[in-house]
Amino acid sequence: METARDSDDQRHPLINIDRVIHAPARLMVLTSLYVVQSADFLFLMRSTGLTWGNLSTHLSKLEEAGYIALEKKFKGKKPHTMIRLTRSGRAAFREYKQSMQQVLNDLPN
Amino acid sequence: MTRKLSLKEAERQAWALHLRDGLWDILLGMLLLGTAIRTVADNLWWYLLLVVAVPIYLAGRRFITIPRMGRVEFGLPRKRKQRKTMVVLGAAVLATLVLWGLAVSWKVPSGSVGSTMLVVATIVVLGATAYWSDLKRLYVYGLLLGGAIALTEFVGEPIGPIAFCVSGAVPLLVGFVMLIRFLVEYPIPPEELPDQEGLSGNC
Repeated sequence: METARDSDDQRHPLINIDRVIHAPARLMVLTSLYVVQSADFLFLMRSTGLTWGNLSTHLSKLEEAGYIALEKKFKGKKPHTMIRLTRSGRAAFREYKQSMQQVLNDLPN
Repeated sequence: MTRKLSLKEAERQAWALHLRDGLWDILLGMLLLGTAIRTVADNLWWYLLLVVAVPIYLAGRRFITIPRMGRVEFGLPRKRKQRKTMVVLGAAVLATLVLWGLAVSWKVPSGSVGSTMLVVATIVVLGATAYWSDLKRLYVYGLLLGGAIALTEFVGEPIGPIAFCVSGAVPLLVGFVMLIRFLVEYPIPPEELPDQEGLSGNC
């Protein structure tokens, strides 16, 4: 019997693209985090150009999906939050990259 | 214009963002200028530039850059490059001290093969540092310093010491311009940023 997923697969490869990652803002955040070990909120704001509110919302979604983790560290007496990609976040990003590459490569010129 | 999109480029851009404050240039400029002016002005006060350069750099990173740019820890490839740069620079400083000591004790004349080697070594060391640290302007500083050493060794006074001072003044000036632009472009963000409390509570 054909499942809903199978029929989705036959329709278009883009249907299986991870939508949590696919949003441009979240893609920017994940790209920034993919190339470093960890960064704080301010550095992500600077590197992506997102506003505080916007970044906060997107980080929440990525955290809910289990793609990022927050690490509380202390700098002197002040608590400081560093954000890093989780193992599943890294794997999801790699998979997303491969899927997108495949989809774009398969397009006719 | 859109920026080039590749992960390597993204890492390079994160690194460049991290160095946009110009403090590295100021540090290099102070060290070079401190050494250069010593050769023209016989005054111990210029040594102060050498002594305060590193503390000024560290204080600048802590009180100017991090509150405006945030913190970032780079991955293993970048850490490896940083380690290579530190090893090369450390070895260069050590080699310079040893060569200087030998030159003084053996009274090596100016304009010798040793001088040519010193010029080449300076350019190679700063070139390697520029390559590993992705700081393209270091190539220019390397050429300026190499040229200044060549003029000092082969032409002598007063052109040599003046060129040496210029090779220190250029990075210092570039650093100050970058620092001013950095301060204007990146003001300290408002207090409510979640860094103080942690993200989870605020998102």
